[in-house]
Amino acid sequence: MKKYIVLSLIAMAALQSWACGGWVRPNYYMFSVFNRDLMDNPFLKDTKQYWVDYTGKESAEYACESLGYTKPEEFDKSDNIIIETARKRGDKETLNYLRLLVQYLNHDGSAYNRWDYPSKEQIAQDKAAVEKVRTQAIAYKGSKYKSQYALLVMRCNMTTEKHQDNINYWNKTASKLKENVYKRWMKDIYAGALYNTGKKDEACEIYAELGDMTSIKYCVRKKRNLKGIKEEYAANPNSHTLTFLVQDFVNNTQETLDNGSDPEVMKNVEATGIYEQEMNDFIEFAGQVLAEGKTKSPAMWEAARGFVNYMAGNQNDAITQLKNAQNLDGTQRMKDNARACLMLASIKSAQPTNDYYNYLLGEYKWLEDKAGLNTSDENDNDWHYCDVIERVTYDNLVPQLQQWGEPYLAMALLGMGNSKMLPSGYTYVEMLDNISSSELEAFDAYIREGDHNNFEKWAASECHFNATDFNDLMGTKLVREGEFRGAINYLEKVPTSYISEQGISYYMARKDYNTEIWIKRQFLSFLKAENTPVKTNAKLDFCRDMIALDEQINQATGEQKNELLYKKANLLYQASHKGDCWYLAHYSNGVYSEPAKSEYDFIGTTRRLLRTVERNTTNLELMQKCVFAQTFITGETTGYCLIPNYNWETNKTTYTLDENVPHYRSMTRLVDFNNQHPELTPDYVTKCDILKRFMAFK
Amino acid sequence: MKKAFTYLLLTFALIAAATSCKPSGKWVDNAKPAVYYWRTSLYLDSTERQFMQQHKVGKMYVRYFDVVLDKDRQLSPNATIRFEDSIPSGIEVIPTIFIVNECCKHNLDTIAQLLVDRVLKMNETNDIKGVKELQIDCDWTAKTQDAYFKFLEQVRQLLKDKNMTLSATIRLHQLSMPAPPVDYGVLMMYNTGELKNSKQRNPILDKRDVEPYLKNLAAYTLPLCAAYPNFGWQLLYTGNKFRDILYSEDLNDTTLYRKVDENKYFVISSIDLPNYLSSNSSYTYLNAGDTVMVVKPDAQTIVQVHDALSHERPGINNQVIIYSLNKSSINNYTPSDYEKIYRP
Repeated sequence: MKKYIVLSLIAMAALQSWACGGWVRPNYYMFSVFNRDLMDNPFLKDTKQYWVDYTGKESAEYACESLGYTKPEEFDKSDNIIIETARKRGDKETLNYLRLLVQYLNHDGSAYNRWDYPSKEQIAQDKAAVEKVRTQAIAYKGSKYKSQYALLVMRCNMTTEKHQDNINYWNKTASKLKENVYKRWMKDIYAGALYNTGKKDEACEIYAELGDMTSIKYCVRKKRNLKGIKEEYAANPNSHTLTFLVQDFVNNTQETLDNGSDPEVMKNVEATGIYEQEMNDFIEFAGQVLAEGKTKSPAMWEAARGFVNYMAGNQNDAITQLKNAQNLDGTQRMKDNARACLMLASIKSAQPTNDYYNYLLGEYKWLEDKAGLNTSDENDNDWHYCDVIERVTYDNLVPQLQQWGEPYLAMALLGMGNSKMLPSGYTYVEMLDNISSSELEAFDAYIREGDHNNFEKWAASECHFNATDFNDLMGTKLVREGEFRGAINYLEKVPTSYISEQGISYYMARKDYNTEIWIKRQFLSFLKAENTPVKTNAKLDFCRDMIALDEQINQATGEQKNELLYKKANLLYQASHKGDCWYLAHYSNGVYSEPAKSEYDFIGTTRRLLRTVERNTTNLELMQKCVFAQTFITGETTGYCLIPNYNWETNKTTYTLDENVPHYRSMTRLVDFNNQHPELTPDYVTKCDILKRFMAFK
Repeated sequence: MKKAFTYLLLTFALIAAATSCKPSGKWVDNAKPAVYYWRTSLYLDSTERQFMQQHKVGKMYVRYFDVVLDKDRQLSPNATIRFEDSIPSGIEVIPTIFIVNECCKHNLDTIAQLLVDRVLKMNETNDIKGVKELQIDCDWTAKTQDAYFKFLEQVRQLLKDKNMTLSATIRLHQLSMPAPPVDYGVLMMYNTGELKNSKQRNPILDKRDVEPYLKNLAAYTLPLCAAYPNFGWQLLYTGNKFRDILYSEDLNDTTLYRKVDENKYFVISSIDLPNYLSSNSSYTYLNAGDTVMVVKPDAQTIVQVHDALSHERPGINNQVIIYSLNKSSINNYTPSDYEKIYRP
């Protein structure tokens, strides 16, 4: 699994996409007795992989999908990488197969929903072409593409709705071919033929066996409840369909408990609501199944009733049954499933003892192995067990640890999720960003020192948190808290290469905090944001400048002091969440951003400084700047008195004036000042659009 | 002189009024009892064929395809009908295209030619002879009116070149809006209510929902005929919140439903069913505790509305279209009911 440093996530936040993101935390289902990989398109992945291996290029995945767009007459000149590779190699056998496949894909009946509706001749041609493909496919005598040609035969039969032919072909030929993805695909088409000839139960059974979730869901749509489970059990206590239905029932129960009050959510995730009575009935029925002894998978049934008992609040029964399930007959996945469910269920009634922590440690290590989190190849991950870790950690253990007064252990576990690229890693990043500098110090101490038990040691070691992360976070938090001198100690240890890898680098490299924000804005499109090498850490420069400025202010008097205070006002505002240089004290920013926890009152201090300068200075130009700046800040922080109204008919914007907002009074004050001093006509006043619009109302 | 001029004006106005009352301007030419056919494959079973014979149905408004926005936000034909049966001889087919209103915001005018060509090609490919008219069905609103009307004008012009005419469906709320540029309209006397309020009113047809619109009927400038429902709905509620429409669900299955009142059922076991409101393939999830209400307008209501329309606008029922030709709906009413509905 790919591992990224924690601040790569923070960097994403800095791209302003975080707050506006539409990601909704999914419900991670615990109960899984099928291989999770089968939840996706069960055939396409392996089919594409064949062509990736053949060409040696990943792009063959897309080329495989676009074979259907290749016109048969253009086949010999096609630049599709699969065809091109075969052509370059002079691989006639592959070219012949691809040519026939392209022929089929061009006549597979999809024209009925295109604007160019087929003519009678085209339909006849399509049928004839498909027949021809079928004939040629049957005639193939080689061995290399035997399965693929057989699949073509069955696809042709499917297109021409020769369902009985497909049933016959499967029984006589296809079922005897070697096991591979094409055979599984053929079996799926065979199931479709069974379905279309009225043998629905047989079809369902095959879909369940193949893990064709779309088809099985459709096939058993009227059985996705206890009644359906009972019927299926009565018909065949060991069917694949039954395994699907039991898993589906338990997951639907989990979904109902989590989101049952929101029909939209339930609909979107295609869940069926399972409520108390049906849960109890299921528990009873599962007990009956186990007692009858007809099932070959008691491990699944015992785990199912154990987990439903857990969800129904019957903790003792749940624990007993989930433990017991691991020793009963069933597939290894069924037993593993019971073990994972037990781990989650155990949290509810656990006490923070060394024994329990040792148990957790063992189970986490086991889960990591099952999930393949310690392998370097992402393809080796078992996403179901990644989901289990996420569910156990984020939804159950972290809240429990917080109740037990172990916030830093909880945070370390989320940090473990971050280093494994699990979704809870985002929460970890948010937590790190939101805590104060003193809390961060305490967390750092917890990670590095502390008298830990084995579980804590493991969590600390798994949690992604290194010295540079700490220094950058700590320095930034101190800037945010207005402790510029203290921040320097940490920021000095942060290399610019580290900053350059963060999202804020795009802004840091392009925005100058010395620019007077009320006179010149520095807008950048976040859509173009990309990590940018920075030559210097602007946070560090800023802190040094602020300290130097304070020293100058302390020594200055009169107008010089006023000028310096005015400068300081601008710098503080720039560092605020409203400033153009928000990156000085924040990792992300957006329209709806608020001051962070324990953030220094940058804006309030700016206002006070501007008022002081305005009051003390005799320099009219500086005074005008202060009045203008205060008007700007009022508008930015409390809303503008000019309300834009966009006319969709004329595509023009008109404005209305709201006289009841602070900005109106502020603007009036600015206008009065300008009227009293007509000799002062700086560009930022004469060219100010807002001022012009406001004057139009006067 | 001024008085004489006023008199002349009045005379002209009277002549104009009299002219506008001429039959050809108010109702549909070539009127025949008709049906809508709204399925994705054309196949008529014996009940349906018998219904057509019994009620001398002369026209079938057949939904050919829908126009939708595809996943790339392109205007595309969808759910194209498959002709798996022949049209009974003597029946005039009027290809009908349903356009999702959202499409009107996406350069609908760019598909006028494509749409007409496609309909003609479908006729040719499937041996649908004697087609003289095309109908467009769209729940257009004030916001989409301009785009929709512009599109209709284009389609009408293209059809004119082929000696064909254009009609359009008219929903009740559209009676108070400008008439679309078509040769005549079909006033839809179904889906008149709000599904959300269907516990109080029948959402398919309720006289109280029709009444406010009757005043607009006489003055509506477009020739009109009327379409009446013969279908029922099974409406699913969670609490008081409307969720979905079910499709011919067997509510007599006592393992899944418990009848608690006339036309009211409780779901007693959770189940999922294919969703027919959604444009993509999805499911409706029935949870134990949900309610299913069965609604269908009674024949008396349909006949009363039919008569009210005739009163407000004589001739509107010269041609009546039943929505829709479907074995499961046909039996909702007796032949005698249909006779009353079909009469002018």
